[in-house]
Amino acid sequence: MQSNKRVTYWLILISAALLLVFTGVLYLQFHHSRLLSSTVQYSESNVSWNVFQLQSEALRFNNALYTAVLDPSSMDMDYLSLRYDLFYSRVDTVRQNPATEQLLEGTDYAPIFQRIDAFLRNNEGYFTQDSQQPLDQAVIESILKQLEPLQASLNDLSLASVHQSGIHAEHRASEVQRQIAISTGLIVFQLLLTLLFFYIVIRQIKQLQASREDLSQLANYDPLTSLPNRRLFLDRLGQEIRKAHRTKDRLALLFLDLDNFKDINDTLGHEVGDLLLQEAARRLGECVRESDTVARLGGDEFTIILSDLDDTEHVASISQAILKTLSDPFELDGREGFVSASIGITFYPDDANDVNALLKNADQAMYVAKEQGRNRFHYFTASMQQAAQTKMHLVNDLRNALANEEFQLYYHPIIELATGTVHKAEALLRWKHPLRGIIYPLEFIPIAEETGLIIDIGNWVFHEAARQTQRWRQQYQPAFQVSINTSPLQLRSETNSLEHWRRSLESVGLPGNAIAIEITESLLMDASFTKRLVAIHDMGIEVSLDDFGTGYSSMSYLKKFDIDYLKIHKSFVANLQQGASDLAICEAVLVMAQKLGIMVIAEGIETNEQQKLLQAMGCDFGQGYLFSHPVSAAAFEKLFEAHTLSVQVQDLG
Amino acid sequence: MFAFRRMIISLGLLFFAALPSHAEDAVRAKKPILTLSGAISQTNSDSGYEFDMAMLEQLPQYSFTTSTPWFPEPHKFSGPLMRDILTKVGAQGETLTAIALNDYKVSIPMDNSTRFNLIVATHKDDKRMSVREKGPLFVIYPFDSDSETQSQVYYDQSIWQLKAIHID
Ligand SMILES: Nc1nc2c(ncn2[C@@H]2O[C@H](COP(=O)(O)OP(=O)(O)OP(=O)(O)O)[C@@H](O)[C@H]2O)c(=O)[nH]1
Ligand SMILES: [Mg+2]
Repeated sequence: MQSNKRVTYWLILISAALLLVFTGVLYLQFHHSRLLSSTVQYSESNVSWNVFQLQSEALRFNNALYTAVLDPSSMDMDYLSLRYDLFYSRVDTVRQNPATEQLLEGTDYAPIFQRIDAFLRNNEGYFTQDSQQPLDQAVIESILKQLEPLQASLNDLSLASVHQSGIHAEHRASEVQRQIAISTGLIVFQLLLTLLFFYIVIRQIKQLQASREDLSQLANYDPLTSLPNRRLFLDRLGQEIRKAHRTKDRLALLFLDLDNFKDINDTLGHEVGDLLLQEAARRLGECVRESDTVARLGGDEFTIILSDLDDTEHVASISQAILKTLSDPFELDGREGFVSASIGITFYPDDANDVNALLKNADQAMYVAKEQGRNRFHYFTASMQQAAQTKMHLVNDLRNALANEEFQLYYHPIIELATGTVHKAEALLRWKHPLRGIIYPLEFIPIAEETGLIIDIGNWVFHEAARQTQRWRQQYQPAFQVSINTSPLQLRSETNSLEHWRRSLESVGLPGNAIAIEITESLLMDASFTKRLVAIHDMGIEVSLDDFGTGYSSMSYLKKFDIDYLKIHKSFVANLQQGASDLAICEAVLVMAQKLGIMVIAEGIETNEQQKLLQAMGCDFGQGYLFSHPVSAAAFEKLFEAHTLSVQVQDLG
Repeated sequence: MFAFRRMIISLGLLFFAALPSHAEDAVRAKKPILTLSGAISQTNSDSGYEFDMAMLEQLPQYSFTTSTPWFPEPHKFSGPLMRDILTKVGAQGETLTAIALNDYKVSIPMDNSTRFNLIVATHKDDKRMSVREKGPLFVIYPFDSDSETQSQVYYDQSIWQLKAIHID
């Protein structure tokens, strides 16, 4: 503000200077034109002329006198008087010109004119109106004698005046030049001042804009962390709520407060506390998407708006990520600091509809998280909290499940439709939870994938299935084959599942073709999978494409990849009846598979009609409750024992 | 047709006007101080139309006070208007050549006599001017009241010690 005032002073000063210079230039130019056309100059230029006229008038007077001497009889006294008067008037003319004295300075002007005056005084009497007597010869001759030296002097003066005029003209020219130079200089100066004026005005305007921006920055952003402040946060939350309302989306609001931040301030100092807040703000930003909002409400309180949520699960993993990133040590001005945070979570529209209620909910939930021991997140809704807790426990239990041998494989027979015999089965994973009983893959596989436990679990499944198959091959059916479900995560290049499988096969002494792995269509999108598919085939393991028809289902992929089996998803089978579109799809798939030499397994067969239709269309294998539910290994063995060579469909159940 | 007839009438009038008339009533100057010659229709002597001081004083008098480059103070000048003198002699021309006693000459466009109140001053501050005082006749423009005349061109045309005017 102080500088603003100073700039204003400057502007006024420059404006005044501009005005002054402008007036100066105008004045000078006006002055010039005056100078160039003024009477002064006129008089000056006339001085030489006047002197010359005086000189010639003296000559004429002289001539008139001579004529009178030569011919005294025709002497015209009127004419002589006129010539005398003219000479007289010429003397006055020279003297009365104000420029004469100046121009003829330094010449003999003054003494010559004194002599002329004397001459006029001496001879005045002869030429006055009253005495018109003709003059004596002697008088005339005396006048002529007096006149002679004057004429010579006037000649000199005339020459001198011409000379002086030249000098004066030159002088005036250089004066004009000087004036022009001065006014040009002034104009240039004025131009520079004008430029300076505009420069300052423009700079001032820019500064004003910048300070206005600064103000809006101050009004909307937290200066310490550069995060949006409470005001902007409330704005954004309102906006996001309106947007979510329009698109019928869900959004989450997280309220985060650092734990025991006071201790950091107390032990390391307020400045270091500030550094920690800055770094924490940065880390928070890294945990969310660009479109999400992280704000600092004040103190050690932060809020996060997560919009466009597909599912509420996602929020838990983000919260987990936040807790984890904050648990990393903070490098603070050479010292190390540790901090944790408590997070409260609430959802729109589930928990509340407006900004204030949402904020209150999240705050409350955060408070609960603090109460329960800090370094955790807590949901506002009980059911949500319940689900989160259940999941948390599940994750913990899953970590121990392998060690506690809580996993078990069930087997679902795969029937050869043409003969009704069973030579294959699909291994299905079951988790026998000590408290909750049997948990199905649908519930725990996503968690296993999320936590990375899927690799170890997958390897265990493979090994267990291989071991079982080997036993059954030896005891009951030498060509028996078990298919195993895999997660795409297991087949990523960085996991060495393939190596693990090879060792399993070797250790149980089983050929690869005793195992088929079921993969999902999404894997085929991954170009690098081709190489691993070749490696799998090299081991002799067969590959079955699971859930065909539900994913990306491009026939062209089938041609590109070497697939052995194709499993038609049970949703197609469920709708099978004469004339249905799904029938046409199944038929098309079967025709195509036959052409490509791929065998087809239909899943979810529940009725005889479905079985007959599929059989009629040439489907190779079928799976479903019509034949059997998945059963434990022991139950499966009973089937083998009852019908040593082939398990008959009818006997299952 | 009408326009044509009117032209003939104007031409006729011009013809009459152009006829030089040695008017009987024209007085001869006793002691001439100004002689007009050239394209004039009135004459009163062989050299043209001569005026003496009395004849000039009989014409309508006009006066003004003005500053001039020749006198340090403003002065009152009076005398007949140049255009009245020209009318008097029936001047029909474009240029006046004014001649001074010292044979100084200057050309004055005849228009100037109507555009400005150009006078042939016979009096300065109500007194006759002697030859010594740039008299007896001084052609002068009303410099102060007509700023257009404040320039070298008009200063040059302001001739003093006037003795004759020739009209072309
Ligand atoms: N360095 C720093 N400290 C701040 C700032 N604003 C607030 N604080 C401090 O942050 C602390 C916030 O206190 P609380 O959140 O109520 O308490 P806490 O110590 O974090 O303990 P809990 O939140 O209950 O776990 C107070 O000690 C404030 O002095 C700030 O801008 N910079
Ligand atoms: Mg805190």
